[in-house]
Amino acid sequence: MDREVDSNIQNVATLVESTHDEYNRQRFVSVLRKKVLVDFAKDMKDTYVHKVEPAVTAKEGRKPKDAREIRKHMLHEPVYEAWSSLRYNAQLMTWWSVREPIERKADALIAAGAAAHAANPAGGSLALNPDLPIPDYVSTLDVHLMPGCFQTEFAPEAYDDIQGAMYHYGTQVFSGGLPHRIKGRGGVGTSISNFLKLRYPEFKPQRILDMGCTAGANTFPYLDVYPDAELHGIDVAAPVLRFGHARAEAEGARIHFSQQNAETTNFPDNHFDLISSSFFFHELSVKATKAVWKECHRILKPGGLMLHMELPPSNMTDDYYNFYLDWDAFYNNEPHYAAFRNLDFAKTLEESGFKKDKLEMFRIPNFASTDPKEFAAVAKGEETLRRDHGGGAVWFTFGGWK
Amino acid sequence: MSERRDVKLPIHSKGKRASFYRSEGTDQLFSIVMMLTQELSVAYDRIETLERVLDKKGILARREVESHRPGPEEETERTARRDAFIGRVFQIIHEEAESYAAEQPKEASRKAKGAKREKVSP
Ligand SMILES: C[S@@+](CC[C@H](N)C(=O)[O-])C[C@H]1O[C@@H](n2cnc3c(N)ncnc32)[C@H](O)[C@@H]1O
Repeated sequence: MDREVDSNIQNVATLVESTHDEYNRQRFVSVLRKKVLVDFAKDMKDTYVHKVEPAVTAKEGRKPKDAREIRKHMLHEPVYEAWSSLRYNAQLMTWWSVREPIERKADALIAAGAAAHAANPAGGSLALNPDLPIPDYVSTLDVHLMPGCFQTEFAPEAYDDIQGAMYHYGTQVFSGGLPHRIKGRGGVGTSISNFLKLRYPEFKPQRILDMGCTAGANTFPYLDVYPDAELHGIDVAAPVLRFGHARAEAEGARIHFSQQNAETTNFPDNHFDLISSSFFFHELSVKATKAVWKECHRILKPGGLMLHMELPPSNMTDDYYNFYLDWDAFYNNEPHYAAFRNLDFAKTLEESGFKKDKLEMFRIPNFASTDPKEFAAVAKGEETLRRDHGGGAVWFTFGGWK
Repeated sequence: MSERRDVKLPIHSKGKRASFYRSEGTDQLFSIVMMLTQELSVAYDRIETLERVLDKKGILARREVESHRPGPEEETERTARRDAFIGRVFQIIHEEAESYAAEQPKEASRKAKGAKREKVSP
């Protein structure tokens, strides 16, 4: 659905321009990432299956017993060294490929953001809290190797939305070779909202919250499915919120962004019909994750749904896949990833207040790249999909009703 | 708005650089090769763009391209481009050097800048 869009406001999400060579550098990185994550990942697995596992079995009389043992044997296989190098450098090159175009337009990004905020055509809002402490798990390392992370400010006295731009333009390069997204909308938000509409046609959430929303890519899609909902996005980092807000105003999306820690929000009890997040918990310490799930239970209305997207817990995937996913914990500056995936999800959700018989876990196909009939069949529970998360074809979601 | 701030974005990601190879220097070399591959791909893209544009305009001057020799002014321009190109390919070397250079005087400069970098929200 299209709301009125103020054409006088420049959209921060489209104003950065790349030169011919910069554009092609970005395209190169997109293709490189696809090769690494799909083609070379298969080469690495084949090497494990046909060389490493048989060699270990012959020597020790048994297969490696878990992800850690697989890692031990893979660590100095040439294929693992080369694959890791490719993956690591491709990650850095993603951010580098957009750094110069963004740097050139830094002033324009700030000015356009401030203008969108002031004009406020969509009626959304931005509430910043400069006193909010940035948690250690965000500030210690540059998460995803993104230089400056989410929270760095370069012009703190102004409408500094630059790291939001870095994340927005960088993630476009990031997923440029994979079919996740439509129109710069996040694949997860689009998939979850369309899934819920089909599965629970009676469920019409009036107030929705997206936690750890960053620049809002996966917040926006909820308005496409639930246009009358009051939509909120929270994050601890101001620059990404400023960017999300400026973009939302320019695109006519009424979203309320606020700078808050999801562990302890200022929302009242029993407030939201739907709480969601995407790619969020693996960046938090396990202690913080537990606090957030409790907080979700507190601010959820009775009858409301909490449904988060994350990677599946390690007890739901095989040893090799766990070894493969643990890579991010070691090298992508996401040290909490492994501990998060080792959580007993059901038990921890119960400890957070959710009743055992009201827990939910869905594997939701990616909406934009799935045949609509197949998507609907999965949503209605007529068909189940067990594809790996790796190709981005299916999003693992979990949570529960209050 | 005419305000100019001259924002400089960091290249380095906070945290230890990952190492995958046991022999020293191989990680750096790998990184260099990747940057080089990217630049090569970009250069090819540029050539292809050029050829297509020329083709569209009906000026397929392949012999002229072959015999072209740059004059002094053009050579200056090319030198600057090659300079930036090499800098990009060997970025990792600069990055490491920069991180050492940044380590020592940082405390002092951070203190000096401290007041200015205080977060203020609009
Ligand atoms: C990988 S990003 C999430 C991506 C985003 N959901 C998307 O789909 O584009 C994680 C975000 O969580 C934020 N964050 C980390 N800890 C937080 C906390 N305790 N409360 C709120 N936001 C937090 C970070 O600032 C970062 O923007």
